[in-house]
Amino acid sequence: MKWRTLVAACLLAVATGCTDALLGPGPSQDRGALFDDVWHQFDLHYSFFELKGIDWDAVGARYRPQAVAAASDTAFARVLANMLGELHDVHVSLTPFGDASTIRYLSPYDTISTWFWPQWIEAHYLSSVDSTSDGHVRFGRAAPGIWYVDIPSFAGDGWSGDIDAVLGAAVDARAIIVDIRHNGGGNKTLATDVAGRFTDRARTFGYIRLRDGTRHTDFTSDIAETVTPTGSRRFTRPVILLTDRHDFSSAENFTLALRALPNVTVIGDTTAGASGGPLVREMANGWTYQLSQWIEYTPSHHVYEGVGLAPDIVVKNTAASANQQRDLVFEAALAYARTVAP
Amino acid sequence: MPMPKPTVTPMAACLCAALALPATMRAQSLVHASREQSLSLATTFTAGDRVDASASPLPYGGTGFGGAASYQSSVGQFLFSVTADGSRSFYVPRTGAPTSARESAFASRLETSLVRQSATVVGGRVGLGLAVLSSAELLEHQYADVTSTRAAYITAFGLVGPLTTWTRDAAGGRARLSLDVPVAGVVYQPYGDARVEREGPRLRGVTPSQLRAADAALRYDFAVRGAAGLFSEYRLRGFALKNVEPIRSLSHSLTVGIVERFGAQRDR
Repeated sequence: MKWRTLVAACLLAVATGCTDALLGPGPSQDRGALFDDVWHQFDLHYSFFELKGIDWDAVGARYRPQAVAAASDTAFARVLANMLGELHDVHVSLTPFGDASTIRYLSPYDTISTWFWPQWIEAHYLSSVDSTSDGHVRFGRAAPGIWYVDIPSFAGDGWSGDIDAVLGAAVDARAIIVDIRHNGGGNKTLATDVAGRFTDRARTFGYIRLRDGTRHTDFTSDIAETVTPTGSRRFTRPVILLTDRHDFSSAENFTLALRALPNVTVIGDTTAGASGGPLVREMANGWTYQLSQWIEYTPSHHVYEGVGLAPDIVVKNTAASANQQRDLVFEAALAYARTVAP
Repeated sequence: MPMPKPTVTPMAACLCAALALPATMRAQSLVHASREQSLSLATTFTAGDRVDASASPLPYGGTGFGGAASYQSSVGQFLFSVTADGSRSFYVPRTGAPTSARESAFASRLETSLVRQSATVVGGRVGLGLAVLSSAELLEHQYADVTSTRAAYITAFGLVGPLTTWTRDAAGGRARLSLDVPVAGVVYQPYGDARVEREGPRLRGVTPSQLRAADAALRYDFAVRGAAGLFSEYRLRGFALKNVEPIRSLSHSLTVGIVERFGAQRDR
């Protein structure tokens, strides 16, 4: 009996002794340690240091004293946000105090006016207006045989089938105008799934390279992005895609995917140029932040981060057209649709 | 971020003692002409703590459950064993950090070992051998960000190391103490979230300087005679891998199972 007690005591001692020895007391929550962790994670994972010519060591050296000296959590969050703002990347953000507290870099295209109001299209150009059951997509008839589909966001998951319902309603469509202006992005997989409704076969529409090493130049080789036929219905007749400077992230993936299709023409303005795939991280104090972990390339291997994807036909609304509640981009798309699908 | 240096000193001490003792003790032949085999099935409850820096700098703690199947065969002094187990675990931040983040993990392991029982120490037979461990884990981390992002981190290992056992009949049953210390191998650890597109798996070598791991177990078979019986096992696993994103974990598990013996010497 004695030896069993001894063995049990030894096991217990080893078990409890090992826990702290192996795992440690947990990461420090002092501001210097928190700052160092965030800085280090960006150093390990952020994808645009080289492309944007950012000296991350110098940035860290400049902001660390401010972070350590921050008088409050709010001030500390501001210092971190200012440091991350140096990356000029809309996919980089800090969420310190819950849902409504996200701080991110505002690009010039976040605030530029594109004179676009979707309700004017419904009011002035469409003869019928409907929306899918969960409201993700609004659509209507623009002219005989020409349908209009508005996708204001790719947020959420699992609703790419809404496009099947739209295509089911637009059985007489000879051309479809797909409007993603002011689409701030969301779910890349969803956006590619929706794009799959407009292709007849698999096509490569771009490439990504992920950070995969400690050096800022360590990336995977090209990983092809492919759009493949999806859904119960597909539309492979002429598609006119409308874009503008308020198209970010997954909306740009969608644009990239549709640009690879021979039946698609893009009309409007260049997109915002926010291509970095986001990676979410958390801090020891519970705050979360997000960073870009890849570089996305067009099929011709051009980086469009900060540049955007240019349309085939440039058309922009103006203050004057807005005063008349006209949408010049839509009008150009409608005219174009009539020429390609008479 | 300063990290405490992992230590497995108690484990290493046990291993050294086990390795050294057979040389000083009287060797005892345990030659058996025939073969004994057994199959066992078990269910496992696990409690553990972990830090996987791929997902978070925070330590997480939690519990899990799982099952294991094992085959053992002994011929003469040699004992061959294959054990497969799988588990599902759920974790919350260990330090009470102000976050609603959560982790869960699917883990599977396949361990193959060969031990030569060659000496008697404190009334029990000491065995020395080699263990080869293959393991894979899918860790799902739900962040407390605005969109409750779920990320998946996959790690897989192929590790090899010495194994020592000590077996003694006691209280009508049989106790078996084992210590397995993986020292080297290969690891598959993607650089980030496995949900995004990745290239094919790339294995990296794990050297003894990067790895600190030990797996200690105490098993008790309640009866050594008869075709079938019950057994119980306590297991302590420690693991620390120094990498770009280090991983550290410690778990305790309690197993209860049945064993079916067959072969000519099942009553041995």
